[in-house]
Amino acid sequence: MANLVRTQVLFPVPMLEDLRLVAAEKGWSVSEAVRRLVGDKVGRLRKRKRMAVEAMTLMAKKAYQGKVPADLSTNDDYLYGYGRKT
Amino acid sequence: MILVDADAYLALNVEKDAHHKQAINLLGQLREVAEDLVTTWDVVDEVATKLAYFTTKKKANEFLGLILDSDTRIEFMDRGRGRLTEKLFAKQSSKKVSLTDCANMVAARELGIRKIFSFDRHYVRNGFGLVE
Repeated sequence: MANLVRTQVLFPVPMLEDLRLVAAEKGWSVSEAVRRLVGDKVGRLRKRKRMAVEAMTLMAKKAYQGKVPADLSTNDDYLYGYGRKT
Repeated sequence: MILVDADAYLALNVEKDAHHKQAINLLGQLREVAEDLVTTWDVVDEVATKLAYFTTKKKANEFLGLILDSDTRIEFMDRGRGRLTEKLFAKQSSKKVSLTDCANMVAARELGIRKIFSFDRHYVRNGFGLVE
């Protein structure tokens, strides 16, 4: 396991009681329970957040290489064909 | 949260677009900050339409598949947002600010978003920051 760093976290009493209960049921220390539960949630959140960026990365990797107006992204005149130059 | 505008998606999707390389560089920043990404259906519509016109229909379908299957949050227009968008559009002095841009700003304000991934400076004039 990576080096552990001490920190202070404030919990509402009912949440702390639930946490202690879960830890006892699983045979974990409270500290281990926090690491496992937070680690699981944070990991899922990070993975979820990456997905939108990954979709955009894939768009760039598979970018269209044919001829288009260089200002396609910023020129709204091209929308619906108005002012179409190609 | 960061709102992604149509020009950013188009620049990523088209290699010969003038902003393609810049968009890829900025994408690296988005990866670093790990913020949730939001766009509007109006943007999805605009990007798919332009891609179909100027690249291929397959490319447009591919874009739709990628965006809709990702966890990008897509905000939709409703009657309330429509009225706010109309008011914001009326306030704009530049005719270059599109109704889609205004819909983006209305959605962004509702969600408390301060930053937009776009190359369009008029967002700055309307009080937003750009990813740069």
